[in-house]
Amino acid sequence: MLPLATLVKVGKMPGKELSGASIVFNGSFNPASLNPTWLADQNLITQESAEYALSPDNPKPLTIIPQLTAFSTDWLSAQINPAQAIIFTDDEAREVELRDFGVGLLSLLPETPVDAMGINFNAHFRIESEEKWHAIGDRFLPKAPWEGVFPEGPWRVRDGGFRVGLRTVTAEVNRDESGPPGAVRMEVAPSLVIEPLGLFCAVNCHFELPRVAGKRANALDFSEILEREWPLAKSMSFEMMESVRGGE
Amino acid sequence: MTPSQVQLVPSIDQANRTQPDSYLRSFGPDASGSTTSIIDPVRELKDQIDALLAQTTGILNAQHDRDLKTFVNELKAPEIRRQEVRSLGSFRLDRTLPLATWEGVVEKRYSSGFLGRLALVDNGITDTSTFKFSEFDLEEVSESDFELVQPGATFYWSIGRRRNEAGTVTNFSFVRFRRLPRMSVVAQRAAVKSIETALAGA
Amino acid sequence: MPEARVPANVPEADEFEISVFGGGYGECVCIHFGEGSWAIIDSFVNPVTNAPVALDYLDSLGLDPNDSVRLVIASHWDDDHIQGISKIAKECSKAKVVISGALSRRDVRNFVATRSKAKSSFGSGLSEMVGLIQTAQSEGRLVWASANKVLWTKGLVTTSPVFVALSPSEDTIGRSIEWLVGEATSKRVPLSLRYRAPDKPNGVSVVGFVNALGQQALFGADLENTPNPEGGWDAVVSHSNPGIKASAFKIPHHGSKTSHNEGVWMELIEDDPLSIVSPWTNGGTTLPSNDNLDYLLGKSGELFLTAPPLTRKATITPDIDRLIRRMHGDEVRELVGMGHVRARRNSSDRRWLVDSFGDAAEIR
Repeated sequence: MLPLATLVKVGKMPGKELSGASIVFNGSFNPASLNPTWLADQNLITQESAEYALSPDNPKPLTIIPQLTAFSTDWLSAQINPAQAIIFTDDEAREVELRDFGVGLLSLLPETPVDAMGINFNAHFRIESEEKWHAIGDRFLPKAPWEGVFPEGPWRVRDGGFRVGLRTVTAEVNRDESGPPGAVRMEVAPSLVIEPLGLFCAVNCHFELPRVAGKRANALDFSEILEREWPLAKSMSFEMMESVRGGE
Repeated sequence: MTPSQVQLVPSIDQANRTQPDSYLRSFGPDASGSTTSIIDPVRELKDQIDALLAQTTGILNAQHDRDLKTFVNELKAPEIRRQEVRSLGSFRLDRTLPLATWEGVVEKRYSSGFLGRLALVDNGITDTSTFKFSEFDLEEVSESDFELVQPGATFYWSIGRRRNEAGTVTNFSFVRFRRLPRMSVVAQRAAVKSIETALAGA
Repeated sequence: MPEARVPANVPEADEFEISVFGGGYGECVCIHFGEGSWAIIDSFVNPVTNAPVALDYLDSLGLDPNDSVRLVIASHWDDDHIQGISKIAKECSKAKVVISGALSRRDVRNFVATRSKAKSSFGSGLSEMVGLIQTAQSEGRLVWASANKVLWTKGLVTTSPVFVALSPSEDTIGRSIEWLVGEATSKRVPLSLRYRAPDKPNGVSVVGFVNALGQQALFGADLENTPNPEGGWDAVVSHSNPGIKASAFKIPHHGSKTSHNEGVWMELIEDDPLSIVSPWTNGGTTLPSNDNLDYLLGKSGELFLTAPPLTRKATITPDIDRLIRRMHGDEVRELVGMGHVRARRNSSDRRWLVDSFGDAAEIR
């Protein structure tokens, strides 16, 4: 657990234009049953949120069929198919409620098989200067090693004299035996949403529980992990993005 | 935390990804869905949906089919072309900027509000080393949360600024109560029974 | 008349020490009862160091909690008494961990709510309770306190230090279990039972009495008076009188009127004792009130308060403060200060030698 003293107080990140948090569960789900009406009956969302999700005035798509449920309330989006359940918010003020929703959902389905869970944080930044943007690119998305990989050909030469550009880089570390199995992955890429000088960062905190004596892990197992690991995942993601964005 | 050796990962095990490779990941670099590389999450999901549709066409009615097609077509949202980004300027995007979020406990309920004990939520971690206090009016609480305003109940209070797509900045302060599933009577009894068993062994 | 001696930083082997820490929301007591043996009652976290104050204090004395702490007592499961206590239990790996042998009805409701994840990270302190019990039970160190149970002693020698619990009473424990059984099986509680199990955690507090190094001290936790004469302070006076009076008294329940008991002052406490009280506030109510202080002054030879029971406008960054003023009807308040009252005495001292640190002060 990171001591509080190492955290940057009041998590404002200069230049952050967009952010999102999501929790992804891989397992076996019954999509049609996890619909807004049922979630409101179970007290996980308000009746008003459920009504908004089902309202024809809601611009976000709604689907409730046996193979897929997808809906959005005022702050929460969800998509559940038989193998994966995803919950997501782009309202940074409500990320802690996303965790609560995830914990609540898992506790409603304690015996549901769940094999893996990801706690994810994404953000798009506008970098304050071209110089700094290139410095980040040179550090994390180095073009030089790739330049010689592509053979000669009718390739456009970009700014800076290179033909090659890096779309994305992902790095990962794997957990040791002291914690739940899994990895932390970070993706860095030029932003296609913020232009110019946009930077995209995504951190995936991935947790897996293997079968034990042939028995799959279940939602209850992951509810404990989610509650315990959420604060660390959030603070770690913040630090990692700061580290990349800061160009240090 | 000491990371193990960091290495560039050339490809990721697709079967066990826990990143949202769907329209919900539209914030990602492949938002436009315009790549034809192997790893095209939007196309992958579209393929899955098409396969499902092929299996279930006989079961789904026309309405469902239309909804699903709409959904599939919406998978590329938000479509953001580079021209639009430049022409609309830098404050095009809807953004919430919370300046502070507190986790609170209702200490006392009044007829018109409640007294809350607060702990600052700092990058996902609730700082319980020090507490603050404030009174809240019921007008700050959504009607749907009224029944939750009881001593001991958990709530969150966030203040900050919101910027809409037109670039207009507004301030916000809102309170919402923690929502978790109601525990069944059977489950409650089982929980109490476990305490009784523990005490009996004391 | 010889001058009062000035205690060294670390208590001498034959020097009894009571250190009470408190800051308006949180109480902790550290007791040295001879030859480097310590006990810790309750806990709260120092907001500056983010560590339990007890561990900070022992560290400041150059002591290893692993070697020096014999007892860790969670007197009851109220949030302001147990923040950080599971960490203390882990660090004091050789100490017995003492909890009340009874659970209040609210404890049980909180435990059930925790099982359904309905409780916040700090609302009820249940995560500390669960962590503490799990740690101690797995290591065979857990002790359930009940009236007249000896929590720690070195042996049967009369000069050996003794740490004994004076509560919860057998009656309180019995009612708590009966209520639990009723809740678990949904059987109705018999109408013949006039009194129910205590509703709040205070009612099942562990009151401690220490007799060591020729000194006696009473630690009142948060126990209050109850209508049931077999519970609360009446039961302590009736059934758990240790037979020797204390010269130092950690005042129960932050000096509230509901904890004032004439029987305790007459039967368990010497005349003109040293009294130490820690404050409490929930942002609205504050303890001790001025009336409470007047009462305590009338009973005590010396009265010390670990910190004033006050709040003030919180120090917040200007942009957040502006938004709060514009958007929210009330200011955000924070506690005023934190302090430490340290009392030491050996067999040659005529009285307790008291120092106050931080925001602690003597009340006159």
